Amino acid sequence: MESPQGLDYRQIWRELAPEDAICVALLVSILIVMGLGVFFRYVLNDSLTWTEEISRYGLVYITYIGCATAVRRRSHIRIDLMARLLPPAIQRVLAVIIDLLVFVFLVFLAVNTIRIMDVLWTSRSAAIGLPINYVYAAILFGTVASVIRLAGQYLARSRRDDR
Amino acid sequence: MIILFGTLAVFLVLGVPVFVAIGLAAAIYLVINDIPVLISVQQMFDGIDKFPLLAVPFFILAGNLMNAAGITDRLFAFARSLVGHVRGGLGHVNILASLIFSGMSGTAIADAGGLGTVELKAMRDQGYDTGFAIGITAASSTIGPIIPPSLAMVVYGVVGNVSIGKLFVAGIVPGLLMAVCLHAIVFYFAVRRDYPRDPRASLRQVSRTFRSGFLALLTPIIIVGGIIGGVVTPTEAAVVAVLYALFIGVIAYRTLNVDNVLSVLRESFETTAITMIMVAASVLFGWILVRENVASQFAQTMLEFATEAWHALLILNVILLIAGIFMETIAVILILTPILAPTLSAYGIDPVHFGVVMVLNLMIGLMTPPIGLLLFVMARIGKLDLFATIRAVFPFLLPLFVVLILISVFPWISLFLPRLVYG
Repeated sequence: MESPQGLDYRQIWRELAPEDAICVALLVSILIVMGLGVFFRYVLNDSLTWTEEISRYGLVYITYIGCATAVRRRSHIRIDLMARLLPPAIQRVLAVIIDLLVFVFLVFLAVNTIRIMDVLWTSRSAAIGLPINYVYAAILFGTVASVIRLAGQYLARSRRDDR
Repeated sequence: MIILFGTLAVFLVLGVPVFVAIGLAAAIYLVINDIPVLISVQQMFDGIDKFPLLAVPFFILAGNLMNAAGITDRLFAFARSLVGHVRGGLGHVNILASLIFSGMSGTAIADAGGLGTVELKAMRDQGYDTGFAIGITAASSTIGPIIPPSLAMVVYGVVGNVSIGKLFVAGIVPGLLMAVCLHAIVFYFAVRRDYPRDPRASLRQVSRTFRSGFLALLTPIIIVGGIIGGVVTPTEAAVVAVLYALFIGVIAYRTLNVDNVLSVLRESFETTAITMIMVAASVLFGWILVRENVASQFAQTMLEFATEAWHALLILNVILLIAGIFMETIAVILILTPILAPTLSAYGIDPVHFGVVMVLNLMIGLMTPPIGLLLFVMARIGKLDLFATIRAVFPFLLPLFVVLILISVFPWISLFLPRLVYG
């Protein structure tokens, strides 16, 4: 059985990494929370103030944790038209340079997230009073997980080469 | 400024992931110009911490669930009983089924990858040449993001600060127009090449396929009707669509189980994350553009070249077409929308009208090499090589261009419905 994106269903179970499980759980959670919000607004005629905020923060987490999934599966959108035209040897070098740039950007984000969290440590969210750093932490967790996934690919490759 | 766009262009051409290309170019600019770099994280957080963006995961999820629930077969059967007997029947069926599906799915890729497989198989089984089948399947799936719901419109609305409800409603008539023009070209090919047709379906067959697909056919009515009627916001419509898709798949049709729901969730969050991180990086990029007055400078330059609004619209169309051919859809929306906004107001072009024009331009880009994502999807599901796919899709660009010209020249085609609904 194939899904629209051409993935095998059984394979998806097997390949469900921790970051994937977290994102799936988050997606289900924000669906329930948003569903509750709609239900309260229409059926009970009483808007819940916290559903919107929780859902937004859930989406921020999905974005950054899911980034690690996309790094692992190499599914981030890129325009590889030029690279395809180059000789294979140069393509391999280019791939390393690109990963290095991804690495630099992820580290840049991680470092600055830590710095901004240092500034924001007393700030709280408007509706539920959640420390805003709990949400900014999404960027930190996500970028660190992405870096681990990126490095993991190189470790796996060097292990293969050793054999 | 040259550094900002220069590094961005180099990164993109090298094949750096789009979010890194945009984000890193912005980061380098911040560092060089001694702007506090903490703004980068703040923008990449605030940029996606927006309520309307919650429509993104849910419209992706709804489309994928509908595909996995197998409603595509029922839609196709229903469309076939209606128009299958016209010459070139399955070509017309293809368009009609895509039109209905576009009312429940937000991306062309979901249309092509899910419904497209069903359409292609049926057309091949009836002896259509693969090229024609692939061409019409690709072209008809571009109706998806024009008719609401639409991922592209959500992103445009959020970045450009335009009402997503109005954008959704504005896409309806242009989407129908696309279907009409595609029907015309299918009819032309069908007569010239003497394509087969089905025997006319009896009223009983029509009513049988209608009842079998009834719950699925209700989806566009719930989503589009709910938004037009002002019952739900687009974001709420997305949530309702997901819940309804789950209801259809799990309870009514019993086609969804834990396995395929999980895999749909997995794919959907990944697509969401990939899209949203580009949004995040682009918001940072846009912040720099605003700070450096790039957008208003662009409007100034335009005013020197083009004296009338339609000149400007022509130039903007050319820019969008080129951008759409060489860039990824969402990325173009993200980068160009903030740059073009002051130009629109300088010429009195309605941003709602322009949103429809922009998305249609980008749909054409989706069907053209070198990076038309739709071509790759079609080549994969049609098992045709890429160059043959490009040739096959080419003639179907014509009807889309016709619609593009019509909706550019006559803004009321897009605007009369939202004016009617929203006053």
